[in-house]
Order: sequence, then structure tokens, then C-alpha cells
Amino acid sequence: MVTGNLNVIGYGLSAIGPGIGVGIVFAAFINGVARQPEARGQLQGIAFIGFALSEALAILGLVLAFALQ
Amino acid sequence: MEPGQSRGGGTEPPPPGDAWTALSYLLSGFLLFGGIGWGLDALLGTRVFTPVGLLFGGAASMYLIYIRYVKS
Amino acid sequence: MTILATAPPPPGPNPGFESPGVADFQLPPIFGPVTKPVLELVLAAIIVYAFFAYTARRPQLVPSKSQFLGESLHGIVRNSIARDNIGPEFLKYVPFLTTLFAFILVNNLFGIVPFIQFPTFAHPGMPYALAGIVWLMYNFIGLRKHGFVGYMRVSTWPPDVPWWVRIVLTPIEFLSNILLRPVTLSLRLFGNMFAGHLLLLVFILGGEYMLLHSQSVFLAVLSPAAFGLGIVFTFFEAFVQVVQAYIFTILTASYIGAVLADDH
Repeated sequence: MVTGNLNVIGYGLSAIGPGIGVGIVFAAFINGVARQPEARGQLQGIAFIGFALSEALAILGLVLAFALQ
Repeated sequence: MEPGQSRGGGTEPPPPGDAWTALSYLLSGFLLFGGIGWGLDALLGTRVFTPVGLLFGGAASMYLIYIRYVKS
Repeated sequence: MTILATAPPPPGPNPGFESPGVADFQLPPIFGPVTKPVLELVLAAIIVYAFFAYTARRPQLVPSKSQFLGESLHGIVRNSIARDNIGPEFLKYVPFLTTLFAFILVNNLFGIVPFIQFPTFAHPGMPYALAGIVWLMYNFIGLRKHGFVGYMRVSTWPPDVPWWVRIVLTPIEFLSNILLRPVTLSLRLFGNMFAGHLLLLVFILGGEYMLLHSQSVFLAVLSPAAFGLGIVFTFFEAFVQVVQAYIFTILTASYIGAVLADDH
């Protein structure tokens, strides 16, 4: 009854890790801003770098799910 | 915050749309250089350039995010 | 109930559960080429127009209840979306953003309104058109403010890097800022609406199958759990629909603000 490509399931599984990672990064960012609101500018840059690093894995999985046949 | 003064650097609260812009930079880096690598592979009949292009594109877009969000 | 009408009647003794899929989003035309989402778009436009025309029909200094309702919606968009994202000239774009927000909100909430129960933007053509309007709008604003060369400089020129890095980074920025923005904007709205509607379909149709068509008593006893989760996820969908309308508007405002900025 279910048709489709197994690559998509692989991508779904591989998106779990980056999802958790992005959650941790922004949780730490919110924590830091709540403790020290004046450090927001500095923390924001670091948070975006962390976000980009973990999100890169998810996008890599997305691209490879379509590229590898 | 005063109206019209919220956009700027420093410790001002950032516009909330900027997080999505970072994601867009990352996606376009991967797509552009991964696509170039994939095209080279299809042209030359090799399999090397797709992963190389993907990694290079990811690194380039991360550097772009660094420039846009940390340095400025 | 429109949503139950898509379940096929059991032809054989036990055909098994057919999971809902993309085919459930291809609705049959009602008359001519007009399908249900098209009618919903027209209905949403009428609702938004009627709401704002009714709430603003006799503006007073001390607002009546309906005037307060309309003004607070306008105030949310003006204060927390437009002012934070667009620069000093934000007041010019507030009417567009307010109607955009109200239109998307009404269209999304159609997904959980009984007897309509189809979010318009779960059909991919609709958010593409909406993002196309936003794309034309922010490009036009940027071109009018900076001219062609200045607009390209604002949107694709990373500051303070050597020239050989620019060769790599400028194509990425061009792809991201000019070409990919409407795609991600529409895909985000479409994906959320599509997945939410599919989730509700799975729970309601699955519960219906367990209750009526399965041969096992055990599954029939368990079916209230499926219906209960369907109700829980209906409330979750209401939340997601409001948030997606808000995010679409905030991103539009952020794009307009980015093309209006003098330099980064």
C-alpha cells in the first residue's frame, strides 16, 4: 500500500539529529540572552554559526537524498 | 524601542526574519556548488565532483554567514 | 462531511487501510476548471474585505468594539511586524502587510473550519502565486530606491572581503536573495499546510477505518484514541496555521527592510 523511495526515509531519519542540534543551539542562545541581555549582539553571531553548522548536515542529507540514486 | 530605530547593529534586538535568511544562504551555497559539481560529473562521467562541490559550497555559505552576522 | 467523503467504500471482504496521499489533494472541479481552493480564495478575499470595511465603517476617537478588533489586528502588524523589520519608512507598507496577514490567516484557518476543511495553501499553486507577488514587490521597491547597480550592490555585495572571495560569495548571495527567496517562502507555507492536512487525514480516516471497516473488535475499541488524537492535532494545526501566516508576513517585511537598507 505504501510506495516511494527508501532515500526519503533515510533523509527523515538523518533530519532527527540536526533538529535536536538546532534546538539545543537556540535554547542556549535564549538562556544566554535571559541571563545577560546586553550580550545579545555577540551571542547572536555565535548562535547563527552554530545553527549553520548543524543545519548544514540536514541540508547535506536533503541534497544527497535526491542526488544518490 | 523607538519607531524606526530598530534596524541596526550592536545590541539592538535583531529582526526575527534574519534566522530564515541564514538558512537561505546555506541552502543556496549547497545548491549552487553541488549543482556545479553534479553538472561536471554528468559532463565528464566521474563521481568525484558532487561531494567536493557540496562540501565547498557548504564551507563558502558558512563563511558568508560568518561575514554577515558576526563580523558586521 | 467532506473529509469523510474521500474514503473509498470497501469493495471486497477486507481491502486493508489505504493511507491518504497526494491524490487526496487533487480535488475534483466543481464547475468548469474551478475547484474548492479557488472558491476558498474568493471567499477569503470577501471575508477580509467585509471584516475591514465593517470594522472601519464609522471611525471614532473612542473605538467601538468592532473598531477595536480591526484596529488591534492592524496594530499587531504595524508594531510587531512592520516597525521591527522595515526601517524608518515602515508606515507605507503596513496596509499591504495587514491585508496579506489577514488573507493568509483566513485561508489557513479554512483547514479546520467544519464543512470547508481544506487549507487553500495546501495546494502548491496558491502559495507560488502569493510569493510571486511578494517577489515582484520587493524587487520593485529595491530597484526604485537604489537603481539597478545600487540594488545589486545592496543585495549581492558582501562587505570587507578580498576580491577573490567575492567571486565565490556573490553568486551565492545572488541565488539566495534574488532567486531562492520566493521559493523558500512559498515552500514553507505549502509544506506546513500540506503536512498538517495530511496528518489530520491520517488520524480521522484511520479512526474511521478502525471503527467501521476493520474486522477486528480490538481495533474498533481503540478507534476513539485515533479520533481523540485527531482533535488534539486539530488544535495544534490551528496554532501552526496562525504561526505560518505570521511568519510569511514577517519574512515579507524583512525582505522589504533588507532592500531598503542603505548598507549592511
